[in-house]
This record gives sequence, C-alpha cells and structure tokens, in this order.
Amino acid sequence: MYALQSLIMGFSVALQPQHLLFAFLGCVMGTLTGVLPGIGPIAGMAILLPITFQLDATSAIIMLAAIYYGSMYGGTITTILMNVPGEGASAITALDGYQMAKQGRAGAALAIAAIGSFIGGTIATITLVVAAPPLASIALRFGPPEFFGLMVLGVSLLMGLSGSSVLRGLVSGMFGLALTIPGTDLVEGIPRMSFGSMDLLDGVTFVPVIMGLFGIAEILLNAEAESREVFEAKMSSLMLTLKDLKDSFWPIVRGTVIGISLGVIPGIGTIAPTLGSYAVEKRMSKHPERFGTGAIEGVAGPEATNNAYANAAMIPLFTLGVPASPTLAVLVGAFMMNGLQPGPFLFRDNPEFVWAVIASLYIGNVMLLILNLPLVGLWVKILKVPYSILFPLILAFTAIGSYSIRNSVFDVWVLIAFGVIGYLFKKLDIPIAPVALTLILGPLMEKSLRQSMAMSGGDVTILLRSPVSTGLLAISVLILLSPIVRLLVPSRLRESIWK
Amino acid sequence: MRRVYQATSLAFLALGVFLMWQGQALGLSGMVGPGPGFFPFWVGVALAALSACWFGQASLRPVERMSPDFMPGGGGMLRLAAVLIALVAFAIALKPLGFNLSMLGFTLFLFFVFGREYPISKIVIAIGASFGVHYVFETLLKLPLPYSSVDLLRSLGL
Repeated sequence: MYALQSLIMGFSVALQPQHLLFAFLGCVMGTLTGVLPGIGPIAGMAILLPITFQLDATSAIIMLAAIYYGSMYGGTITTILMNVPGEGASAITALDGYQMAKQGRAGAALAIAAIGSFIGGTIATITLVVAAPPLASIALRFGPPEFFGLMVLGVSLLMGLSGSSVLRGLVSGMFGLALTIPGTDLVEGIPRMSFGSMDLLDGVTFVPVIMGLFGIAEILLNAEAESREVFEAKMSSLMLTLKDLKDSFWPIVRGTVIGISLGVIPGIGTIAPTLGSYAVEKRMSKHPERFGTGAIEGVAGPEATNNAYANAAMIPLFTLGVPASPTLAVLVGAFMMNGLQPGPFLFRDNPEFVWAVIASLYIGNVMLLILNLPLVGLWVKILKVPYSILFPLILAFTAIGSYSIRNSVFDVWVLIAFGVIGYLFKKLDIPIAPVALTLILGPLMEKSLRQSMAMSGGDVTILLRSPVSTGLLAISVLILLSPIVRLLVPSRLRESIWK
Repeated sequence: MRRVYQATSLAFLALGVFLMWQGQALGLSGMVGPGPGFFPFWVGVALAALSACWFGQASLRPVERMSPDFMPGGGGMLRLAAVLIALVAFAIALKPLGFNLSMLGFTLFLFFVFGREYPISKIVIAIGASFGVHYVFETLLKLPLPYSSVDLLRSLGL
C-alpha cells in the first residue's frame, strides 16, 4: 500500500511537463548514442552527462535514466540493421535479428525488439516498486561496518566484469581505487597527493575519466580502422503478423523472468542474461535448427531480457547504493554530483525524488515504444551520414562536454590522458569496467572503513562483530578465492561434483 | 606479449609502491581512527601484490602471441596520431584563442584527415559546431565557454 501511494506521488512529479520533456529528450539522445557506431551505452551516458549539470536533480536523473535504456534500444537498431552490435548484449540479438533484416523483415525484428523491451522493462519496473521499499528498510539498519562489507562485496563482484583475466581485472580495479586517493582528506581536510595542484585538490573528476576511458578510447580504436561502409539496405514494414506475436509471447515472458532474476545481482553483466535467454529459447523450441537463420524468438527473448535486466539492476542501486554495472556506476556518479547518495537513505530522506525517478522509468519505457518505431526511419538516415563527418563531431562533443563540467582545461587534459590509458587497456586486454566501479565505490568504501574504525577506536575487528558485515566479507573472500579454487580442483572432480 | 605484460605489470607495481610510500608519509593513524595515509597505503599494498602476481604469471605461464593488428598499420597510426594531436591542440589553444576558433580548427582538421569528400558541407558543419554551439551553450544552456585571451581576437567577439 505504501509503495502504491508513493508510486502515485512519483507519477504526479514525473508527469510534470518539464520532466516529461527531459524523459523524452533522454530517450531520443540515448537512442541516438546507441545508434551511432562505436558509442556504447556507457560512453553515451558519460558523453551526455555534462548536459544534465544545469538541471535540477530530479530532471537530471530522469534524463540520464532515459539515456541509459534509450541507448540499449539504439544498440539494437544497429545490431539488426547492420550486424554491428552497439553493446555486448546486443550481439545475441544479431544472431537472428540481422538474418531477419537480410530476409526483408528488419521492420518486424525492430518492432518485436521494441515490444519485448517494453514488456520486459515494465514488469521489471513493477518489481522494483514492490521489492525496493522492504529492501531499503532492511538496509537502513546498516551501519558503517555493514556498508563497508557491502562495498567490498561490490568490488569483489567486479570479477564478473573481468573478462578473460581475473588478475588483470583486479589490477584494473585497484587502479580505479588509486584514482580516488588524490584530493582532500575527508576527515582531516589536508591535501592528499595533490602535488601542489589546485585542480587536484578536488580530486580526479569522475566524468572526464569515464568519458576518456570509454568514449575517447573507443574512438581511438575506431580511428585505426578504415572508413566504415554507409548503410544502404532498405527498411521494410514494421507490421508484425499474428504468427510473429504468437511465437514471441512465451520468449518475452521467459526473457523477462531471466532478466529480472539476474538484474538484481550486481556484477553479472548484460551478456550472460541475454545469452541465457537465447539458449533457453533454442532449447524450448520445437525447431531449434531455425535459430541463427532468422527465428523471431531469438530476438524477442533476448531483447526482453536485456531491458528487464537494465531496469531490475536499478533495485540494488536504489536500495543498497551498489551499481550493478559500469553504466549504472555513471548514474551513481550523476547522483553524487547532484548531492544525492543512492541507497536506503535516499528512500528515507528524498522519497519524492526516488519515486519520481521510478515512475519516470515506466514513462520512459512507454515513450521508447511509441517514439522509436515511427522514428526508425530517422535513425536509418543518421546511419547513412558518412563516418568521416560523424566521428569528428562525436569527438568535438566529448571535448566540449569535459570542459563544461568545471569550465576547466584541466578536465580536457584528464579526458585526453584517460583516453590514451583506456586505449592501452583495451589493447592489452585489461578490463576497463572495474575502474569505473571502483572509482565510484572507492570513496564510499574508505568513508565507511574510517567511520567503522573511528567507532572502535582503531580496532579493525569491528568489521567482524556484526553477522551482516561478517557474512558480506566472507562472501567477498569466497568470490575472490574462487578462481584459485578452480585452478586447484582437478577438472574431472569438478565435473563429477556438478553431475 | 610477454615483454609487454611484464612491462605493464612492473608499471603498476611501481604505482603500488609509490602509493605505499605516500601513504606512510601522510600517516597511517590519525587523531580518531585511521589517518589520511591508511587507505592509500593498503591500496598500494594490494596493487603491488597483484601486479607482482601478474608479473609472475606473465613470466612463467604461456602467453598468447601478439596479434597482427596489435600495432596499427601506417594509415591507422596516422589517424590515431591525428586525433591525439587535435585533442592536445584544442586543449592548448582553448584559452589563448577561445572556444570558437579552437573548435573550428579542431573540427576542420579532423574532417579533412578522415576524408576529403563533401568539403563544403564539412566547412558549414565546422562553423556550426563552433560558432553555433557557442551560441547554444551561452544563450540557451547558460554555460559559458571561453573567449580568447588575445585582446584583438576578444574585441572581435571570438
């Protein structure tokens, strides 16, 4: 009942004209960044983040959230039309979506992707409404030791983002923690590793670092390649047949359940849920041989999963303050730049803001469904703009964005430096996502650790006095040790255990 | 790739040792609880330890061969250098020349590095990306962008 009343209050705020406008602009800009080759959701959000600085907190977060799920859908468009996945999860959609486009059914593929995304996102938002308040009320009882345990768990879960090398992922995460050190000490107020620089007294600003690591690095990698082909294919009708809808119904339902179940667990990433959905649909199908040749189930299920995951990932973000992915870490950065700390205290201290943002998630899903189907022709036109024109404009926008954060040339230099670092990281197969997560969680981790030890007079065992913090730290240790265990246990023994 | 990974891991190891040194200098304990150097010190320890493990792994275990496209070819290297030169030049020129001229030069340079087709369109777009964006930022978004520090250019509104 409380959740329903709060949601109604949230809708009354989210339906105000200026918030609707910013949700709309976010959906359009998010889809645009998703459509543009070489710009994924995280780079898109980082590049567009400075636009929100002039807005109030509610408008800024509504717009950024709309950019977040808008860019997911934009990635689907290039996946289906050009076989160029905008982000990792879209790669699964390419397996059948692009085949449908080659058969002249691009419109149907895009339409079912939009519908599946809408249903998945809407049901995930409803889950957020139901689950968030009780989770937040439990988390309100957390003190500094429990929050420290939670942050450590969040950092250890980043191993799920580490790709092929866990060790390189951990080094990358520690590098991100190192970046949080320069600035002014939060307790004693003295300069800390600022090397006499006035610019560094405020610390390394999050936004140009993220824009450099994800935006500029990606652009530098794309600059190596020869110029891209311009999109020439023709768009077909968006109409779906009754058979299309019938074939897609259960994949969308199953995909939504998979996306929500995995979205609440930080660190899973977007690829595993969509891959899981595709595997489930192929297994459940009476004709699995059709998968990979243009089966609509191969588009409907993963797309529902993708958007359900994206919205369900807001649950740990809002209730515990733990971003489930690097993209949501950018959103946490935006919260903090607006003077807000995601987590249980947000529900208690700023309920009108929280529920307005949650209501706007639903409104944004509706907007994406209504707008993007008719606007597909516009996105196709944008894909026809030569890359030699698009590419410098994206760079220019990134450079302007980084300057406008603090009107500081220093931030442009930070952008360039981390663009080069991000480029080198990608070349060396060092994952970048852990840097984003630890850059956000680092200050929170240090704050909760120092508060805990101040409470205990310097005794570190305070972290083990509460069952919650002990449990969280124990799980973190198990996660951190799991690669070593996997190395030590012979593969045949592992297989026999799982059998 | 072995040498590359070894060099990279040593660089991170050096960073870790530096953090430990700085952490000690800042003080591990403070008036109430840990001091300002506590967190940097232990981050340095973790980074140094992990980097040492990485160095060991790169030295002892088989490492994949360097892929053919690890180093960009001639054309790719030129485009890469062009992007970096453009960004650095933009950062250097921003204060003395102001936003309009810096951005105009930035976009025109990159437009023609990445292709000489559509020259008129590119010039028009470059003017829009500089003077047009300046207008939008200043007038609509109320976000000031820098004017030139050179009096002559400033007197021309640049």
